[in-house]
Amino acid sequence: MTETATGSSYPRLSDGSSAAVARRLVEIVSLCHGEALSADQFDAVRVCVGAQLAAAERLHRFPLTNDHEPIFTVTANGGVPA
Amino acid sequence: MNEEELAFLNIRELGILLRSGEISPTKLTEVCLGRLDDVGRRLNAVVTMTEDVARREAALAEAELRAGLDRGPLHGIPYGLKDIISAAGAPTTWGAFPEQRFDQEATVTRKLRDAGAILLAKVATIELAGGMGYDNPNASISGPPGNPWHSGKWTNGSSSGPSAVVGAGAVPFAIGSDTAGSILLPAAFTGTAGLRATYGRVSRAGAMALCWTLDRLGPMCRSADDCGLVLEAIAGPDPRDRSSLPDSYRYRRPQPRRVGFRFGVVAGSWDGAEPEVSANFRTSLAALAEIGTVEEVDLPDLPYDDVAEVVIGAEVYAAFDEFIAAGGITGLTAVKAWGHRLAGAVLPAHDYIRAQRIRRVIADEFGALASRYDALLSPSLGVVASGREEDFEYMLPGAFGPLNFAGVLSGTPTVSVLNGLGRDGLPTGIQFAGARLTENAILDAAVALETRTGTTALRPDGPHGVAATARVNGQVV
Repeated sequence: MTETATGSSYPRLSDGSSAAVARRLVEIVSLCHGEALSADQFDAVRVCVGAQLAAAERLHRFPLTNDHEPIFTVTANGGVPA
Repeated sequence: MNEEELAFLNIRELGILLRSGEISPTKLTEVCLGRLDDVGRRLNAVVTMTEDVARREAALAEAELRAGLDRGPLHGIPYGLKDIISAAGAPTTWGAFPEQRFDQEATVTRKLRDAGAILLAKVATIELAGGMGYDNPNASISGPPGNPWHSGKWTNGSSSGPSAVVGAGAVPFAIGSDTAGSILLPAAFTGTAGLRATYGRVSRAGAMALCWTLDRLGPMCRSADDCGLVLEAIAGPDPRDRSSLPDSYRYRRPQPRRVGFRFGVVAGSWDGAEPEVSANFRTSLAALAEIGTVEEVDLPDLPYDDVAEVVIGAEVYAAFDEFIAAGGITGLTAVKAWGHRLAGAVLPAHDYIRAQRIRRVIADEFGALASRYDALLSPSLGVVASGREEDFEYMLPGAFGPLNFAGVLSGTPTVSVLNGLGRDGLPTGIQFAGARLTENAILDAAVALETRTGTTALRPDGPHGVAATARVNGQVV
C-alpha cells in the first residue's frame, strides 16, 4: 500500500526536553567511556551530540511513509551476483 | 626534454615516449622516485617508498614493451597509492598505525599491476581517512601535507598524498579514496583531476572501510582524460567486494564526444565563493557554452548535510567500534577526533535508518535531475587552499556547495578539474556531476573544457611549490 506523505508527524521535542536528552546522552557516553576522556574531550562530545541531535531532529521533519525503504538492500544470496 | 618537462606529461604523452623508446620505464621510474624523495617528502606526501619493487616492475615493463607485449595505456607508468589501500610487502598505515601490514593486497593494486603500472610509493592520508573528524592539516603520521602550488598551504583531505604527488609532478597518477569529498576536495586545492566514479565501479577490497555505503576508490591525475584511462584499468566486478557492480567499463572509444553537451549549472552554487573562484567558474561556463547548452537548474531541496552527518556518524562508529569504544581515538593526532566520534555511540538505529530512507529519496530525485543533462556543474570548492598549519572550518559559507553531497549520497560519478588560478596563485576547480554510470559523459565534457582552455598546461612554479607564473596559451594567468 502506498501512502501519501503530507508532512511528518514525528513528535517534536521542546527546546528544554531536547537539551535534557542531550545531557542524558552525554552522561551515557560518560558512563561507557568516562575513564578514557578528559573534561575538554567531553566538551567535544557535548558539542557533537548536540549537532547530531539537531541533524536527527531535522530529519524527523522530513515526510516519509511506510513504503519508503532505505537505500541499501539485503539479498538472499548475500549480495553475490547471481 | 628535461626531467621537469617529463614529470608533467600526461599518461598518453608518456605512453608515446615509452613505446617509441625515447624513454624507458626504468628511466621514468628513476625520475619519479627522485621527485618523490625530494619534493614529495618535503610536502609530507610520502609514507613508504617501494623502490625495490618499483625497479623490478620497471625492468619487467621495459622487457615486455621491447618484446611487443603491450598491457595498455598504463604499461610502464609509475603511480602512488593512498595509504589506506594495501600493497604486498609494504606497510598500510591508514595514516595512523606505522607498523600495520596486510598479507593480502587490494584488488585495485593487483589490477594496476596487471595493467603494467608501477607502484612507487604509499602516499599520505589524513589519519583513518579523516573519518574521526579533524580540523587541522596535521592529522596524519606524515605531518601536515603541503600544497605543490604553495608549500605554505595544504592540500585538503583526506587524499592529501595522492593530490600532492600528482600535483607536484612526482607521479603521473595516484589512487585516492572518497567517502564525502576526499578525492574531489584535494583535487580542487591542488589543481589535479579527481574522479569519484559510480559507487561500486571500483572494488574496495583491501582498502580501509570507513563508511560501507559511501566509500569509493578513484584516480587522481593530471587531466580528466588520464582519469578515464586509469578508471578503465581499475573498474570491474570483484567477488571480494559485494558492492562492486557487475558492469565492465570502457573509456577508450573511437570517437569521444567533444561537442553537443547539455549542461545544468546549479543555481547559487557559487554564492559566497571567493571572487576568483566565481570569475574562473564564469569563464568555464562561457567556454562550455561554445560546446553545448548551459542552463540553470535547482537542486532538489533535500537535507543533504543532515543525512550525510547521520550516515557517516553511525557507519564510522560501527566500522571502528572497538577502537573508538576502547578510547583509541585519544591516541590520534586530531584533537577533534577525541570526542567527535563518540557521539555515534548514542545515535539511535532508527535515526540511521531514517537517514538511509531519505537518502533513497535523494538518490531518486537527484538521479532524475542528473539524467536530464550530460553534467551538472558547480565550483568544486568556493575557496582556494588554506594554510598548512591553520585550523580550518569546512562549513564556512561558500566553501561547500550542495552538489558534492548530492553526488556523495546518490553514488553518482563526479570529476573535478582545474579551471584556473585564484588568490595567491592557487588552483580553483570545477566539478562535473553525472547520473549513475555516466562517467564517459562527464569525462568527455571535462576533457573538452580542458582542451579549450589549456588549463592542463598550468604548472606549480618549481619544486618548492610557489605558484603564480604559469602560462596558458602564452599568457601569464
